[in-house]
Amino acid sequence: MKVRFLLPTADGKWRNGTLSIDEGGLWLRTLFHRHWIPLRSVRDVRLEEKKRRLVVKHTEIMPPARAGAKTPFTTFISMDVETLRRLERLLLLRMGIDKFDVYFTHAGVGGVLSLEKNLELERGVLMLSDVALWIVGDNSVKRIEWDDIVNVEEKKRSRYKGTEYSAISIDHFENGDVVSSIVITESDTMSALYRHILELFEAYRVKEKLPDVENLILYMIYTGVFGENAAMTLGLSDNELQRHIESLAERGLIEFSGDAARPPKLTKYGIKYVVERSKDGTFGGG
Amino acid sequence: MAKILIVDDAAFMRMMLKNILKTNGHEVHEAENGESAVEKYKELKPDLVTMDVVMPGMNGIEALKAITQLDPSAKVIMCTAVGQQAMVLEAMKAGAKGYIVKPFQAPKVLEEVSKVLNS
Repeated sequence: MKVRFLLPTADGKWRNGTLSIDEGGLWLRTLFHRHWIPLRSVRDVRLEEKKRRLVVKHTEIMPPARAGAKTPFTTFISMDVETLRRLERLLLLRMGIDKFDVYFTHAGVGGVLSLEKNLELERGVLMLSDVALWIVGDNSVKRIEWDDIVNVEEKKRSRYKGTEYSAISIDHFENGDVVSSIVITESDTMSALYRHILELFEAYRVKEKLPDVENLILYMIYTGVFGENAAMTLGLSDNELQRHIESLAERGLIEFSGDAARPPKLTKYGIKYVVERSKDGTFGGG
Repeated sequence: MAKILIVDDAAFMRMMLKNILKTNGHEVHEAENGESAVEKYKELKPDLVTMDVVMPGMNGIEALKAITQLDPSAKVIMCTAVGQQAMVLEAMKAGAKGYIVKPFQAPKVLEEVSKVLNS
């Protein structure tokens, strides 16, 4: 099929050519050159629909990448979105990463209602790399970066036709909200899967702990009640509050909009911090 | 405007919810544990209760059951933390009308309150 692509091998220019896939790899050819990306070396596949391109991260390529190219290498492939979707699915299913057969549903905030109502579960495959996880169904692909995951938790076990099943909830950022995806599989498989997910997630877990007053400031900002009276509410002088705000900004937990009149807002790291500390009772109870 | 009883053992959480709800015109009352919540429910007859799940003594689910026994039409929203959703299921079965997941944000709280008040 005809494509445009940008490889880490040449001069950083987009080229027109053709694409094909065989058992071992992805071939990208121009009139005079051919390039091969082994599928076993692919670590990440990300579809950017608005830019009509697939971003493929891989650790090997032939001929070798240009000197100084950053590892993992990045190759961009551009064509119509429908074909890119098919290519994304094909690459995912052939990537050399761990795959587990699962049932899944993408729940709403908190992931409660889906479990309660036992909403339609789709059959699919859960795939794990060190960059992201994917939940691939017949008609959908959901990619969740580890850095976007705020919580992973085993939910419940139940028995169906003599087989015990268990569920895990993967709470993650999506368009600024924390939403949940629920994955269900046989309990025996789930034990290994859950351990594996926790091992990969551990590197992205927020471990920092702040003084109490800064925890409260962050929570107030997150909740949307950080206003003019914040210093008084917290029993601080304006100067003390300002120092804490500066400290939180230096640590990358909050950021400021261009408008000085608007309160600061939490960065993604700040939101992950608040969610993580909410689980350990920092802000009080459940 | 509705009369709302906030139940949470953490003063900071009560303050946050109070701030959100008062700013939006609601009349707010507070209780710091399950026992006190049941007593205040009898006394105040609020339109809605926000109930923390994990509290020392009578927990949120026990308080919910006591309140719905007093008033089967009571409107109670449970407040739970990420990772405690299983408790929400139990609460929904016990008669809770909605839930908020901590850490919560003002728009989500108001949306759930409005949804339950209008149900």
